[in-house]
Amino acid sequence: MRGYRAFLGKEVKENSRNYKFMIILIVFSIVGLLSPLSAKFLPVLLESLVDDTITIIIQDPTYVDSWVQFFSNTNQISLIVFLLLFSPLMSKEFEKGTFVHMVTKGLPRQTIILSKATVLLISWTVGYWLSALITFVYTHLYFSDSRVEGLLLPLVSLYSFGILLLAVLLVSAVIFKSAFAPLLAVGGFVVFSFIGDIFPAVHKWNPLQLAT
Amino acid sequence: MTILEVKHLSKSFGSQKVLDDISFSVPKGSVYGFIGKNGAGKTTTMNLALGLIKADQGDITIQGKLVQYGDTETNKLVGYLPDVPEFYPFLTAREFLKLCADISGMDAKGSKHRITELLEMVGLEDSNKRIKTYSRGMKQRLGITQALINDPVLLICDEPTSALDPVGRKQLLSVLKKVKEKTTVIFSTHILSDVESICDEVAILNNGKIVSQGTLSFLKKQLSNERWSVVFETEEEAFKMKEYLEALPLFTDINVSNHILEGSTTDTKQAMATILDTLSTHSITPVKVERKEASMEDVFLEAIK
Repeated sequence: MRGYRAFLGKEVKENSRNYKFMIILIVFSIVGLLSPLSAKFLPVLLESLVDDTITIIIQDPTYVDSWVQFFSNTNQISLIVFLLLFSPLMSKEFEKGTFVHMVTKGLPRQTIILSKATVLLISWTVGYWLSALITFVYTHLYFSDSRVEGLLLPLVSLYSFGILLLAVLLVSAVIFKSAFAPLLAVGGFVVFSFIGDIFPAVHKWNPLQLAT
Repeated sequence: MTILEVKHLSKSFGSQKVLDDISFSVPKGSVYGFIGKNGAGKTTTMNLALGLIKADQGDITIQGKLVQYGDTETNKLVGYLPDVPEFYPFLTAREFLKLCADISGMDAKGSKHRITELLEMVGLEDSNKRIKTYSRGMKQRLGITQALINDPVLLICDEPTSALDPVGRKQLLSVLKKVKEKTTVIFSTHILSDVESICDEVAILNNGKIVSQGTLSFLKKQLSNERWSVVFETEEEAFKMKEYLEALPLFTDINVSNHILEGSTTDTKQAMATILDTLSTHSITPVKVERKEASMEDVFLEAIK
């Protein structure tokens, strides 16, 4: 337990001194802000881009559009930035040989991985829910008809999908000992999920459902 | 009392046999030198003793406890200094040592005192900078403090001096000498002068086998060939003397360079007498006649022949 606490402390110091925590907070906040904003102003933006002679009919945006934006931005921006930032989490230590001091002092290997997993989980949880909270507040401000029914399930689903990808990242980081292989593994996992979706038998159990 | 005992240890990487049935033991309170060329198997032996890799055959015990591959209990008894230690660059020396102390399970009060004591010993006490600004010598000194943090009974150092400048080397060797009172040290190297200055016993490793082991004086006595030299005033005299000595089977490997005649012999006493006789018979007056003390280099070169 003391080993876990000590190593976790090291992880926290590392990620705050490398500005990783800060980057996560900034990116997730921007995504949280951007989603309601883009939903609100997309029609205005489109209109200004298109010639006056063409009329496009766009429905007035609602709070639903704001959340649709949030889910697609989280999938396409936040999650990818998160994975990119944390993909070298094992490889750097393997390469430099910094684990040797820890292991030869009797720190169990499981403890090292558990500490790394804890940091991943906490960063994802804080970042994701912060982002969702910001979207929630601004959606409420911009759209007077904003409601929350049916929101919890997709929110928790995408959150769980993120955790699943983190697990894939961590496992492949331990197996492949390089910085890029874990990213490829996560990418491959998502691609396979998409391909598998074609088959009805797989579709029913496909974790991709959590994110789409 | 034996601190480390290695019995019939073998290890291969693929088809390459790195260690072939080696056995040795390290008595308490000694500095044990582990000598060999690059790639002789020194680092492999140390990694095995730390449970970092798995042995194909054989046992290693530390203070009577068996070393197991993976999370081994014996690591609590051991301090390890790798050849080029790497640390977390974003921590300061004190923070890194605190991390090591916590992992070794030391209590907070004791560890604080111990960290200060160790940092003072290696001269890093006033450094509040992060490790990324450290020079190699400073990292090596920090390396030895982290290895000693838990008061280990056995300190394993893998070529600790090979990457250091002369000053850093001297400092590190003096630290090793200091810790010898409490801690047994195993120390691998290919710098033979380091061995002569601090080791009590050595093992010479070649092609995965221990080819020679014992105390320094014992190994030197074992040498079959000893060196001698005669310094003359002129080169002419040296060549003349070379001719006389070459006729005798007692002398081998005779060379002349810059007025100096050098060679080996199997029986130094007899050889000296013969040299003096020959000099007086031919009325040659030398500047100096010398029976050379065997050096660690001679011992090493003969062992790996």
